[in-house]
Amino acid sequence: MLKVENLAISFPVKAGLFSKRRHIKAVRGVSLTIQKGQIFGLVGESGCGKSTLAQAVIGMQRPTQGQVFFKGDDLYALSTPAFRAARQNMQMVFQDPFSALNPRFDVQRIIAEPMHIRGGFSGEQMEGRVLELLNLVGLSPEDRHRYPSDFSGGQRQRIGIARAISLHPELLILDEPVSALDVSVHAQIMNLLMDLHEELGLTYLFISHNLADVKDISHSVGVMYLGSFMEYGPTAQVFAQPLHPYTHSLLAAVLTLDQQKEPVITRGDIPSPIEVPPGCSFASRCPLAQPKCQVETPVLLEYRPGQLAACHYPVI
Amino acid sequence: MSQDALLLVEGLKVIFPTDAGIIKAVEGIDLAIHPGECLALVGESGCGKSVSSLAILGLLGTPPALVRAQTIRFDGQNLQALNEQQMAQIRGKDIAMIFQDALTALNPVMSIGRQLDEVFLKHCGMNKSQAKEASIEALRAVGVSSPAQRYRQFPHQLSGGMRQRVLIAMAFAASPKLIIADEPTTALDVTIQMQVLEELRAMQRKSGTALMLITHDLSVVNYLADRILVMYSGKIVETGPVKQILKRPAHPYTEGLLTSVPRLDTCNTRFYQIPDQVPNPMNKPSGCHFHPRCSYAGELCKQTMPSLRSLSPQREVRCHFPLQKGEGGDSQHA
Repeated sequence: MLKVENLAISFPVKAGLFSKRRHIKAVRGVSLTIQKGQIFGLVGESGCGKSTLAQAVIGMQRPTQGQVFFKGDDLYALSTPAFRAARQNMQMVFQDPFSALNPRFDVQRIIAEPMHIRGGFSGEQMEGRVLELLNLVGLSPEDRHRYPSDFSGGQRQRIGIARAISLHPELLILDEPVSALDVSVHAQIMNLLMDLHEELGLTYLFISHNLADVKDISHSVGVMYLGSFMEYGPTAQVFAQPLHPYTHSLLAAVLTLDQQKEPVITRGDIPSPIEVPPGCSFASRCPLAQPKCQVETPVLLEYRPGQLAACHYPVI
Repeated sequence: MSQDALLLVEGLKVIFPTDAGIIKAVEGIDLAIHPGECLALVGESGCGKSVSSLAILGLLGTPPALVRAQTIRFDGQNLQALNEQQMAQIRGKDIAMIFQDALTALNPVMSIGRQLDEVFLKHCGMNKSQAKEASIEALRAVGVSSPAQRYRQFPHQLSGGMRQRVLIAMAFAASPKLIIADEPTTALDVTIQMQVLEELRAMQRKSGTALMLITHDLSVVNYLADRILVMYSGKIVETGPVKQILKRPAHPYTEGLLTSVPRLDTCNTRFYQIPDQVPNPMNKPSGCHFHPRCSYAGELCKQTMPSLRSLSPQREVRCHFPLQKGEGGDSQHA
């Protein structure tokens, strides 16, 4: 369904008159494959490049290097009409349901907007489809004449999801879809996403900073740090036997309701993506770092079947 | 127990009259915080937890809000009787706040050093050079690296975790008796959240400051708090020691919140969900506000709001059919 090869994205940063022009290296050489019907979990802390990667996948951000293949076609080499056709096949659900919906449009208009843009639908068809979608995401038919301000965060997220699936896309990119929601609503939206995945046979790229969100729903997972994958593999395996010290740190930092377990604290701050340190990008915070880690950049190696880690001294 | 409380609030009500109707944000809550204790106010957005803390501090604009309380007593003083100037003296000196969003809480055009100095100059009677020294020391105490350099930097030059540390340093600066922390780590990444929480816990334990923690995250509560107060739709539904409540919740809402927390240690193909939505504050359900979402609700719950009843000397619950019986089992009720 989706294949990303050696993708790199950098942004120039404004610098002083005499200083050298610098670049933020948001994504540095990422490759991933998502099979049809699979859920890929992309995890990482803020600023690690996960959202930039998503934008490149969906055609909103031309990569500096590398390719994105959607159903076998190089997305950024397609002609404009072909690109638009491919683009309709992948849709995005955003994190903040408050800013993702136009406050001046009613729900009918919001959900029908993609159909308007694509064209070729009669008013009746659109109305019918909107009703169908409302039902699918658990909203009532009367809701279609209301405005976003009438809805709570969870309901708005449902509207955003209805809009995303209105054109029958095959790939959904979910950028932190539940991070802004309350605990009790969080689970409702996760369950809705799971149901839609099953009923509509969708493929998901699920982005989250919360490991617990990704753990139960994704087939494979990629752990990103400073623009590149630290670890990549089948979800169950990565969670049960993480290879990379960073994955260990992430898992250990998750607070639990367990009263005995004391969380382990990872020291240090995330380095700036402008001045990515040489060697392993996690070396400055890694409890297991050796001199070699500061000099030589580790590459992703398959330490266990399907499970890759970019680390000189993985936890085996 | 209320006699030796540092902060005692009784019958706090906050109402917002609007054109569309009356919003009852807080419907009469009682709370007490003792010196050195960490009390967690837990609930989802709109339950009234932040509004309560702002009302206690006198930070709610009146109008639009109407604040009523039988008692708001802090350290022997009746806060309701103080004028704005006296309140301002208490805020910052005796009661400090840590807000969720450090970027908006800090002044963007002032170096963090100057912002910290302000606390020492205003509340501790120091001169400029003493204040600078104290500020740098305060930054060091919360784990800010190279504090002398950071002192000259502006908020935008710091990372989110660093900014939050600056807020913590600022809150502890004047050695307050009480700190109110409103979602102090919600905006932070997991590994950074842990660093900041550890700093906060260490500072609190060292200084013996009482802490009122406002959060929706029960795992943060588990890490930091001694006592918990669960709010739902403007009312307290359960209160007691953290360890007991997290282990054996008595209110169905608390139970729901606990099971909703996504976990790493269990494997579930389905997420536990509390059905439906938090009620509209303008149109709350009759009887127990939680009954439409409660799987244990009976006829009684639709009609009468349960009162906050004592389960054991330390625990209270507002439920007709609590999930836990009082200490010592059923014999107590017999």
